[in-house]
Amino acid sequence: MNRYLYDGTADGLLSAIAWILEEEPDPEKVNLSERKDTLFEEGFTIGTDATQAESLFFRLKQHAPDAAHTLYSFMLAEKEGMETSLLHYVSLAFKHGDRVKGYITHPAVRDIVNVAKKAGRELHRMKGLLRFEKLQDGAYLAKMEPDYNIIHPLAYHFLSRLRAQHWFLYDVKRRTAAQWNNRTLQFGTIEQFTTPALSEEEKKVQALWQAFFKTIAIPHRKNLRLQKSNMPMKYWKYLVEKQDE
Amino acid sequence: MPSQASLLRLAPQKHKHAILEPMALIGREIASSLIERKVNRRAPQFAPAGQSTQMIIGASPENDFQILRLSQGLYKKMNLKRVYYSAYMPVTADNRLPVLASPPLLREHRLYQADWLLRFYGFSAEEILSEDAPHLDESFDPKTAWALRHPEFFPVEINRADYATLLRVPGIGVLSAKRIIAARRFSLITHESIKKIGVVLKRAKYFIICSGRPFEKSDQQPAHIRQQLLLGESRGPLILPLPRQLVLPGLFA
Repeated sequence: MNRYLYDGTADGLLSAIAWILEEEPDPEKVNLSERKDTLFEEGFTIGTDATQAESLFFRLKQHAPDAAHTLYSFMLAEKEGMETSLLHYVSLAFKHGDRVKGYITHPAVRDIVNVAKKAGRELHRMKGLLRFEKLQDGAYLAKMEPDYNIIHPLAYHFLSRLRAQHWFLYDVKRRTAAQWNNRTLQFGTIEQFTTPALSEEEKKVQALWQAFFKTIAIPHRKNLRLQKSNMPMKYWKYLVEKQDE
Repeated sequence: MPSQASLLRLAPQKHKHAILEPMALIGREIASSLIERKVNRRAPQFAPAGQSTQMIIGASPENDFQILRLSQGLYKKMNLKRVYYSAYMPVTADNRLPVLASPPLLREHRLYQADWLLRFYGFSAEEILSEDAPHLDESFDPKTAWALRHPEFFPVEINRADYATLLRVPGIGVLSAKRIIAARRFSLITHESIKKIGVVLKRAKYFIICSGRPFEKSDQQPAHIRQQLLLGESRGPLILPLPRQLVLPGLFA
């Protein structure tokens, strides 16, 4: 079994996979892992090439659109230690096309599909559970702490919905942010974050929202388990309606 | 109400025809609208959410077989989307109302399971129940009960059986049957991988074989399987099957 290493970046991973698929006769017998520079590490290091990575993704998209979508969702999850599985999955996807998602008896396919499903599910939930707050300067800010790095697809989702507003998304855990200023969408990292003041109007709206949330509830129909399964507790920190409890 | 007699008894102001005729009309309209939409995708939909009805269970003396045959007829002839069953719960005390010790919730649950078998699993009401045994088994779901009555159908070979056959195995649902069919296009399904697919092995292991090899070593007789399923399933006090249930058709044939 041949062992290969890559530098730990997403581009590096994809270009390493592209290189192995090109050079190796049997990619399903190859092991790929992140380079840690430890003493007993063995294997051949593959350099990073962003164009290679991009071309791999586009070729996969042409060949198997569903598999490419799974690959994209999997990359959002930023899981470590699953590089070999991903390599085997991509290799199988090129061999079998979109039918590969049915091959769940294969351990690599099963692992990748499960992780991708979790990331996709969180993206879908966040589209509903994100809360924008109006700031004093008229911009909107939404803070979140998702498990997976979903800020990119989430920003594009809101780009097509809130085009007229000026807004920010901020991932508190990863310190990454997205900004839309009516013209361009930008992504970046934030070193130091100070919570800006909310506008007066927003404070009133939040109070009204909380009052509404409380009074609309029918005490006899309270089902906390159902509430938690649709609106998991890990997201409550940034939900306006859950703030005063 | 599942029959004319109980309708007359409990709701004399209502008439069977007054209920069924509008339902049949809606059913016909839905069917013709579906045909129209096959020709023209933009043809207007008729009742896009479908038609449904509800039956009260336990307030009248109908047996499960009558109820299921009625639902089957409604699905086939009137294009119903769903039939709902609700266990009868008295709201007011009146000496003219039927009296039950407790609402028949388990019966309601078994009827829903049988209803799913009608709609998604290709069963007919006559296969699930018969005139001789007109009530659903309380201790087994209708599919397991059917499997125990039909030992000649099993074991099913996971790697070769078609979709309709896989669906008849207890513990394999629509999703796992589809997954099995998708997965075996790539490689043979082994004992280890069948667990990962999502098959409920607790029930399925008595009824399937993988590449000729059974899951359970011993030669399984329906009575033995029945015992083991009961032992495995019961939480708390063990529910012993009634003596008459131990005599199985086909067992001594």
